[in-house]
Amino acid sequence: MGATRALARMAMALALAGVAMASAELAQADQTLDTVLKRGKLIAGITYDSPPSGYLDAQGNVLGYCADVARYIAKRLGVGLEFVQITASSRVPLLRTGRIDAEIAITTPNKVRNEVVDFTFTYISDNGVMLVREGQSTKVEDYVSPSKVIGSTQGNGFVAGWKNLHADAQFKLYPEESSVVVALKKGDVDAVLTNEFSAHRFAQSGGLAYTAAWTTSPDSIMIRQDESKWRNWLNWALQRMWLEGTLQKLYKKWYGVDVNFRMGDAGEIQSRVMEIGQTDDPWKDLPPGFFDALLSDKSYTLQ
Amino acid sequence: MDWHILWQYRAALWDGLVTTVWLSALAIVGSTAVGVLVGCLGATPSFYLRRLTAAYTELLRNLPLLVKVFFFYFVLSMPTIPAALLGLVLHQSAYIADVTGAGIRSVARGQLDAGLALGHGYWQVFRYVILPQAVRIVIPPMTTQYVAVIKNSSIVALIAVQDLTYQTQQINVETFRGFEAATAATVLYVIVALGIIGSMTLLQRRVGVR
Repeated sequence: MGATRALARMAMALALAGVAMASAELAQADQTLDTVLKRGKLIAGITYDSPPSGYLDAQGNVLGYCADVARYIAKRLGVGLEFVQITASSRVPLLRTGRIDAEIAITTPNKVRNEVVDFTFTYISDNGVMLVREGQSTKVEDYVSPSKVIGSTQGNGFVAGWKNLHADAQFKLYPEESSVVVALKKGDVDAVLTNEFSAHRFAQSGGLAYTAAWTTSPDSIMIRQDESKWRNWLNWALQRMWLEGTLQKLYKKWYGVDVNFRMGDAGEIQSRVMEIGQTDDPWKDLPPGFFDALLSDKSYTLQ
Repeated sequence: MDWHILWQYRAALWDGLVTTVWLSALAIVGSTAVGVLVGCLGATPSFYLRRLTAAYTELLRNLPLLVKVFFFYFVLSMPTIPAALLGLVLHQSAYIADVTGAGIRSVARGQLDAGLALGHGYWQVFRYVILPQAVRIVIPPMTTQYVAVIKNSSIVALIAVQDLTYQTQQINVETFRGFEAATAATVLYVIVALGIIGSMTLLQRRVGVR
């Protein structure tokens, strides 16, 4: 029977694809720090469409808070830097197949995700708000109803949060944030779950308003699992950035507000974190003028 | 690899599969109706009809499906499902018109002349001589068109239609189990496509194509 043969062939093809995918995942764990140093380049996954966290300007320069954090990290490692664009659906495959060393973007850790990847300490805290059409109510409670259609992007951490609070909520999810905003404007959705930074930007573009925050959501740098050397180093780097005050200044530069979270495990910086270790702790001095350039509007020239 | 995740999300996968199947089924019926009509009109002796149908085919075949769906949804502000369905129907009808036209033209011209010489009208010859032969010729390429509808229907996830692609994307972004989700999508799409191929093979046997 043709169909049986076709099924058998399909099963074989899938099995081969599975083997290929398994071997595409990095064979040796805990190698990333060494790999980056040997390669002389950090490959950072970054969003190209989420201002002010990570985005492109008209000239194709990579801008944003996350991009500047990546520039700082690469300089401290003493290596070059390459950006790779990530999206909500491509970020994990890119990471797991070793095409990026870390995702330096706006990903919120949760338990199910943590089964697959690892996260550093929180380095951004987003306020969750609802973007609405101008003239609509800007009270969050007015959108708590199964008759309201809530729009967002697929993979947005606020969707899970809203679902936890309101199990009967009705969602309409799009792959791109720009599509959700158009859907909101044409009335296909009643409100859009997004972060305050994005909402503020969309509201400035006209015709839209947003509610007060209904939640906050921590974002972390995402790395492969079983990479404790790499995760340790990134956590040290974030804490050192914090102690220097660089992270807070970058936060203010891009988000326009003071940091609203505390760095470190349970909000505590590890003691002696500024002591540079003999092994697995590269920490280069920054070239003169680096700080000023990083905090200026032209930080993209640092690449 | 954690295949349990697919079992956890079985309800979502089932909903997505059902949406893909009924959306594809409607699109297949619609695009066949429109496509066959356009194809038949394109095979008539009328110069204007031929030009008009050629314009229809060329315009719709050369526009990406995504552009059509976005146009209906975002520009014409149609609701989600009608925009998706109209996009799929118009897109595939252009190809089906082409296949239908080719099928009709492949029946020897002499048969039309013979029918006319025997005193039958054009439509009579078309209906009783040309069409039954053309149908047998177009079934195999039509199968390809129908499978294309199923694959193309994955585009509608981009305007938030909760089809199979949407649901597997959702598993990917919620659990980060992208490989498992992609595998589920592959298997389910192949099963639906095999269903179409099987039905068309049965149809071929019934109308006596070998």
